[in-house]
Amino acid sequence: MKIRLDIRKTLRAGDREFTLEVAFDAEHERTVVFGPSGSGKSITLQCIAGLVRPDRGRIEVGQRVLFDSEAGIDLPPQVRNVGHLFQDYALFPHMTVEANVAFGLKGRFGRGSKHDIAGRVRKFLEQFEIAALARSYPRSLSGGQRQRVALARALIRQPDVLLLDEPLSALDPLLRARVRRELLDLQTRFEVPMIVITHDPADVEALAQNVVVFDHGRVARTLNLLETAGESADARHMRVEGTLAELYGNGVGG
Amino acid sequence: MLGQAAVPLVLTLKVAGFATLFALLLGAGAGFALARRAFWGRDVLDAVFTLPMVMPPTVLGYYLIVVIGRRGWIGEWLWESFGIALMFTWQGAVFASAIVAFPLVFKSARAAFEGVDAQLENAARTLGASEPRVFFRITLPLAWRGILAGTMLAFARAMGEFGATLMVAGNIPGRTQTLSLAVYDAVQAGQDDLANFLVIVTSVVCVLILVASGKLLRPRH
Repeated sequence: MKIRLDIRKTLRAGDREFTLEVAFDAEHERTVVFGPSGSGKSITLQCIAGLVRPDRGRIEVGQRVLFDSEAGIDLPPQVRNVGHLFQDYALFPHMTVEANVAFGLKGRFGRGSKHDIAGRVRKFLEQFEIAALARSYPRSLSGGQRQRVALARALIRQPDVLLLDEPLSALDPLLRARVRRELLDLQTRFEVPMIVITHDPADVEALAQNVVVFDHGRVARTLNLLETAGESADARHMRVEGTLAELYGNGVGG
Repeated sequence: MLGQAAVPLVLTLKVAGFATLFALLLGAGAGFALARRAFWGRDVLDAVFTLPMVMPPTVLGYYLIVVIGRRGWIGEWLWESFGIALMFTWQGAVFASAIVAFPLVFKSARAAFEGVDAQLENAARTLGASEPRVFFRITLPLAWRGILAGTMLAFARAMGEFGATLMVAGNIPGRTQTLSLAVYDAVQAGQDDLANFLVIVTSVVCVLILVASGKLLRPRH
């Protein structure tokens, strides 16, 4: 599913002003948005999810237009069918793991019977290896467990695209390598396109098929990091490192 | 003596109960509006809503007479349209107590709503929850304890209301004479036994309320 985005948004805080003006196409299944903090990555994801309204522009996911200022289209977040994994996971603290995962299936989807929902939730809890935690509250979970709950909660709705805002930054370094593999695995298993924010070059290398490099509210560059035929892992590693180093001098990720 | 205390006690609970209900609905609504909407004059509105907490009850009572008295802005309309008079009735006492108790709910509700992480509400929206569902499943449950704490204090405050109630509803035994007014009367009349009894009843009820609120507010998860 192709994601096309061309937006402009000016934010003011006191007398400081920040203008986000970005356009990119995410043609592949895994796009990494890379850049220093404060370059507008999170706001861009929030624009796609419908949580922040761009001043003007257009956002398309597949054949659906989510936002088009000229045509007066601005779908509310509830109907965009965009999954959003927040940086701190935003689990509901007053609900059990089970209730968190089930949340997106209830209410609006009145047609699903209680029994169907319960079965579906159980299946997801097992798939994400959190079935034993079903009755626990989020605050008793570890960082990695919380992330799995948040992923299960987002993916159970079968979103058209999954947005991940620094999914690895809250995890300890030992866990990161494993979670990168899990994210790759999820992406192929659920066939859901992902847009991942990071400022860790290791994430770029592990996850990206294409990279959109943000800098000061603009797209500095877009890169294709798909493996080229016959390229060895080492060669790709060198190529990715080289490209990233070139972008930021020595201080990759600033 | 029990009978002499029962009448004002029942009236006090009735007046404080209704007053707290109104204070809860209006205070929670106002607290939510001011917590979530930034608009011109918000600070002034916050001050006006807090005013009943700091103003002398007699001044407040005077304002209320101006508003709900027979010739008041609302009072005249109520009387001519519906034949309802609030002055010197227990409904008038409810009105006065509700105004006095309102800031306690409003203040704690505003703080409680502001304490709810907006990101959680956004997460609920991306999960398809309508705005009412976001409010009733996320915002309200997370703010509920703070609002409840304020409501308990509001009830205790409404029970003890004296000044504004006296100005608006008077001190009519059996009709508008609440516990605190009955205590005043008993002391003035030199009925020390009755005064002692009423004071003890009032104190016990207040302690019970505070214990109950403490239990309700104990953390659950």
